[in-house]
Amino acid sequence: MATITIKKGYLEILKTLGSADTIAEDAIRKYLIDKCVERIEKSKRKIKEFERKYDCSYAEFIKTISNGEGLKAVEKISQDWEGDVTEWEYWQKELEEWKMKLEDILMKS
Amino acid sequence: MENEIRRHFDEIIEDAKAVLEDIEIEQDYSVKRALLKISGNFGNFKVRITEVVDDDKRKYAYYLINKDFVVIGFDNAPDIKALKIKYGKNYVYHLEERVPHFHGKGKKSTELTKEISFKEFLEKVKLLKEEQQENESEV
Repeated sequence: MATITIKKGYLEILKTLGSADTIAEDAIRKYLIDKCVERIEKSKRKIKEFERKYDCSYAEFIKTISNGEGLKAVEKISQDWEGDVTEWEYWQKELEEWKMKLEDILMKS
Repeated sequence: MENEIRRHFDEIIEDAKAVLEDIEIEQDYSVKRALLKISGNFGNFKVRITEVVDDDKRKYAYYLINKDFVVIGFDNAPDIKALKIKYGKNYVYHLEERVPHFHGKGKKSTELTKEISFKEFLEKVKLLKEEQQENESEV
């Protein structure tokens, strides 16, 4: 357990509402869930843009660029696909990690 | 680590602002990684850059574009054209490996390079412009 500092005024009000520790923990938990959902939604939105542009999933895209014919087809859509794949991978990783964080928070409650 | 990445991205943005016009910047900072995207005009050309710092690894794609065609590009994506140069037939065992490389006009050529910075990319772009201007004045 870690200790956090909050304003004395807030603490006084929290005490009138019940256990300050429990309320603070619930508030932090709610904040973290909101943040996780926000990041998951943002990642999904960004991934969707690439899926639409290349008409495939990230895994399919990686498979496509690993052979000559596939690469030619991709370069017809965008000659500078390298920037896209770099960003696409970024959002894929973000999505996975924030989903795991969210699961972790929900499992602990 | 985040402060270090922010400083690194700020330097790139500053360099880009000094050279490019109508610049658009997008940044994202997360727990383990950060993303920077910049696009802007360089004369009649477009510069598009994407850089990710992920667990201390730098992933980049710096491109000079004319309409939708590559004029020059530097990146370290796992591109089979670069992997074939580096590994020959054995490239199939390295499909996910990032290899720094260069693409020439229309992506008709590919060469392996060292890792390059955005500053170095801008120098190449400026040089290219100077060469073009010299060629035009000779004609």
